[in-house]
Amino acid sequence: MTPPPRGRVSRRTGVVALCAAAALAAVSACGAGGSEGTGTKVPGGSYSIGVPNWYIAHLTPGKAGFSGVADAIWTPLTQVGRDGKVVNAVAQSVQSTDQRHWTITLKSGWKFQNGEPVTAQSFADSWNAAAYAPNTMSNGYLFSNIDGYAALNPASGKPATDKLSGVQVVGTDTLKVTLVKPLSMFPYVLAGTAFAPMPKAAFKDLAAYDRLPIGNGPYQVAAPGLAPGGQQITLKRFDGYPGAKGKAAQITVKTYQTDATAFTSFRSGAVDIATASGNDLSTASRMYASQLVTSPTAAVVYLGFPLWDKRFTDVRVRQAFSLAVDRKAIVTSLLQGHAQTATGIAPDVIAGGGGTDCADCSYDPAKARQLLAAAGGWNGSLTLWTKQDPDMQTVLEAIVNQLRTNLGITSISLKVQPTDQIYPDLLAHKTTGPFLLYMGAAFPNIYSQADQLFGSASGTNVTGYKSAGFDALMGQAAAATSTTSGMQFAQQAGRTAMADLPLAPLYYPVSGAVHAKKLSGLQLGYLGDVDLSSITVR
Amino acid sequence: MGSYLLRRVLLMVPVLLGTTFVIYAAVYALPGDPVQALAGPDHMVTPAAAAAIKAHYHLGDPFLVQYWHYLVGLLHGDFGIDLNNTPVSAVIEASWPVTVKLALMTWVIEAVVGVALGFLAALRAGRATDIAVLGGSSLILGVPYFITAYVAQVFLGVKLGWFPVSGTDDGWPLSYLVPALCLALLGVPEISRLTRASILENLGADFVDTATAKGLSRARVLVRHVLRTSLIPVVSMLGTNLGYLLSGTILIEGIFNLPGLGYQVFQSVQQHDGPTVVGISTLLVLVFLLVNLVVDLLYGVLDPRIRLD
Amino acid sequence: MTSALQPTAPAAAAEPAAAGPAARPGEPGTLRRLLRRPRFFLPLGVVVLLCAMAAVPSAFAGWFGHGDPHQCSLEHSGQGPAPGHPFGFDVQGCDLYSNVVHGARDSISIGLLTTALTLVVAVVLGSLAGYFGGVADMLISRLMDVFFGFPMLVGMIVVLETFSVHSILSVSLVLALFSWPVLTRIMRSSVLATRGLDYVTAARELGAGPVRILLRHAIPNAIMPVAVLTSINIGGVITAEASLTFLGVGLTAPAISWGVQLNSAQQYFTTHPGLLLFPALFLSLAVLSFVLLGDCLRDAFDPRLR
Repeated sequence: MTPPPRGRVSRRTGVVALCAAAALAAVSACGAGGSEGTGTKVPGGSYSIGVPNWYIAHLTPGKAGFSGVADAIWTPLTQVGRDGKVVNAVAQSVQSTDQRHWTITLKSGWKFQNGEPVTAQSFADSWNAAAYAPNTMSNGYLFSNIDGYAALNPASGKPATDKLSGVQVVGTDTLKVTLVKPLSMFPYVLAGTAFAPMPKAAFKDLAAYDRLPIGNGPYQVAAPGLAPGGQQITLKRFDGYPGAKGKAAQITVKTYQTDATAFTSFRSGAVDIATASGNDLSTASRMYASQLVTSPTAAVVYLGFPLWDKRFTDVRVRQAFSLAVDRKAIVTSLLQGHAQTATGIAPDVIAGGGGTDCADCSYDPAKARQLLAAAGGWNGSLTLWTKQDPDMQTVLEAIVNQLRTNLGITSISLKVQPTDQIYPDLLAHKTTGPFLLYMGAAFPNIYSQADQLFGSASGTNVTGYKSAGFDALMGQAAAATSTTSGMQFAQQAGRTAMADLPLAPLYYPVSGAVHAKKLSGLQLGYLGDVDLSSITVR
Repeated sequence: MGSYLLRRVLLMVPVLLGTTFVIYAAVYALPGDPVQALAGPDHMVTPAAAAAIKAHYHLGDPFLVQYWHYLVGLLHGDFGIDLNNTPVSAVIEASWPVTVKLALMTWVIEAVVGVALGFLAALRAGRATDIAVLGGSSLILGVPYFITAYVAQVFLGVKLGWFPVSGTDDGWPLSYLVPALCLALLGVPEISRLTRASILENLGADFVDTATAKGLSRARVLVRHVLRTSLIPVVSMLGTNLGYLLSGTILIEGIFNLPGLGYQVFQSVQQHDGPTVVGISTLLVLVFLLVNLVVDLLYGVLDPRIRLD
Repeated sequence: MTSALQPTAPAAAAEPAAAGPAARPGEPGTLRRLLRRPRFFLPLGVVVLLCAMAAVPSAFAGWFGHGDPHQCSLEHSGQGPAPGHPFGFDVQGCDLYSNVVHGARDSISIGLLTTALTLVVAVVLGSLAGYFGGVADMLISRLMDVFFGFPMLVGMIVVLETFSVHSILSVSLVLALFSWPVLTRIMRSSVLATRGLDYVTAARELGAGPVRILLRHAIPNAIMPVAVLTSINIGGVITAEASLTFLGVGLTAPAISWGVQLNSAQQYFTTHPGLLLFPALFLSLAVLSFVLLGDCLRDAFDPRLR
């Protein structure tokens, strides 16, 4: 069942055909579905889950957002277990002696959902496609540490080659990868969706694959995939999956504009699983205590300082701001206890996190005023920035009130930008004041947080922090012989950065999801994503 | 009649051009980097990838050139390609049925309830029914409809569980009932007031006295003569309302998670997906113009005194 | 709703008033008669009260002893009414009563500013089009058509996203940009009707220039139906501001407006209904008063609709 070829059918028949196809797939995106939907009886059971739009907007490893849905469709070489440790999935072994040249061997017997075997070439093809600039895959930058990336992304003109020179296929089940710089954390990196394999069939039509992908994970996307303008997809269990098979036979993935609409839909019975965030988390803990699963998120919410702004070059000013924020009040009153006050850049749910790395992350308004006065006091107005997100806005409002009260800054305002504006503006040093942002760990190791927040080559180092001492320690971490010793160097690097306080960590968020009574076994990943395959339908 | 129609259609051309130009310019001026928007917030875009994206969407061209490309495409029925690489026409195809169902249902509610209440109030002018209708409609006018929608969703859908209030799983008409009722609150007060005023005006007109003098029954006079004449301004308002309903669905579709045009367009604005915003807006304008044309033609049918030429 | 979100509604309703030569009842008598009617003086009283609230919020906010809307303490977050805090606290732990009172300023300022801007544009363009006709009329009428058919909410959202500053001024400008055609159309038809009146023709023949005729005769004569609509328009604009802010593209905190309060109350509505209720109550009262006032004026100055 494929969507009708567009253009050759008239507009009217096109719509009718689409509706028919959708109805057959028990999807009622066209609104004509009638009684189909979540209640349909499927052997093994079925359920529906509400997710943000970007979860399914793109379904190619090089473009997809990292989410529970992507994890259900693809299985990469490695996976991060519930304990935060990296384990082999499709890989038999991932080895290196110098942390720069890696040899990866594959298990046999893995197949794509169309029956095609998963080989070393499947990975190489996927990675080359993602890194090749003209394909404009948004995850492409993740391959920048692989040899040959620069050739695929020249400063101008079309690249001369479309293959990463650092990725060599040696036989059907062996892959040799050469990195630009050593990276002890490479096995973690391989667990990302961007590093998942793609079958040969995908390359006939990459645009079609993006809407109806063929993966190698426990669930496959049912035809017609994501219809244009569509709001949901259906996942069917892939019975040829060699790993732990999915428990439910069918999953309907529905998108919502906000978490709040998803939660309301859950309450009205329109969806079986929804994310509960912000105040909905407290509502859920009161009303659906037995149906709520919460888990600390491997992320930090921080107040970053614009180091390019001369008002913030004095570390005492930054310390004053950090000390003037009452983290405990924000966590207990505003977030109703659904967060943890931060004392560093990562909570203890990830390797190396949870330490008291930030000396100025306590609440001491008297000392804050002293420090600010010593640094020359505050003159003029202050603007605080954050991204378009109701929870972040609420927290920033509280910070505005606290800074006004505790530091005596009277002319204070708040500005909100969409994410696609705030990051470029920050990187271009256009933002005119401290900013409240969220940073989630790309993989559950403090190295990831330290690198993303402070690394000089990081695209998310938005404070403009640069420190030779930090870079040296991170270099040692990357070249360490094991992820554990790498983690220890990264911890030291994190403490070095925290002493300079380019940003003030505020709290570690908690994620939550509510599920219908008929479901059990819901588990959340380290970034709060729902593990789709472990859910059982009663 | 024929030349009138031709003139009206020709007049639509500059309006349509102007509208697409305004919306295209506004979308063009949106801050933020479309290339970055395309790549996603936390992603780095390499110069090579940025160049490829720019070439694909003609983003490097000057504004007027981009607009020209768009217009030429539009003339061929091509609404362009959105930032997800999907034809905008496909997005529209998928979402218009939802919006049309919602808008038509709302429109019918508005027309039936509005005219009925107005008729009733006019017949009982000055008495309790009249005062209740006027007072009620004023109250409805005072409360923003998105608040009513939000409260209705929580009470009717979540607390009481009487109606589906999210998505289209229950199909038409059930899924659309509460959203349509909330949206209808926008129009009902105006329609009922206008109907009332219009009927009151006509009740005192000469032709009513003539008809009554001829010995026609009161009911017959009311329906055949008064109501028919009084409905002319009401039809005009209903017509323009239908045009506005289509764009008024943004808030309602967002609250009730209905995947229609309003839902798509708001999402596209947030993602800075220019082609979709311009495409859907153009379509809405076109529908608005056509509806108005039809309304004006209906004038002639309803009121033989008006001649179109 | 009226005006900004649905400009034709009042336009259509007022069309009869505009089409004929404006009825000019003896003004002092009409006003005195109006003032004796509760349908007029009640909304007028509320409007005056709200405007006073907007002008000097501190005079009203301090009634219960906690007049500073910025004095907040998270420990009171979301608490219900307490002595000295009749409406309770918002999620930031600020006194809700004082915030709602201060909210009047931004909401009503936007309503008045937008309407004033619209009025200026309407008078200028409407007179030009109505009096001179020809090319000016054609250009202005087509421009009106462009903005008439426009899906306004879409337009306003896009333009507001373009502005990086969401202040009273920028929000008003955007609202005015999309609501001027309503009044302009009525102004135009009024001027058009006046132009043919005997005394205007007489003035012209006596050698009065177009500016003089417009200022002395056409505009004063045509302005009554426009002025009546303006009052209804203010109510619509206040709602429109709230809708835009509700969608997250209008004003943002720490600006205090009813729209901002409604927007942040959304997610707390089920647990703290008061957060939505009180600002909504004030907003509705304001909108209702302006609309009723306009209705009443319309009835008084256009006897045909009475």
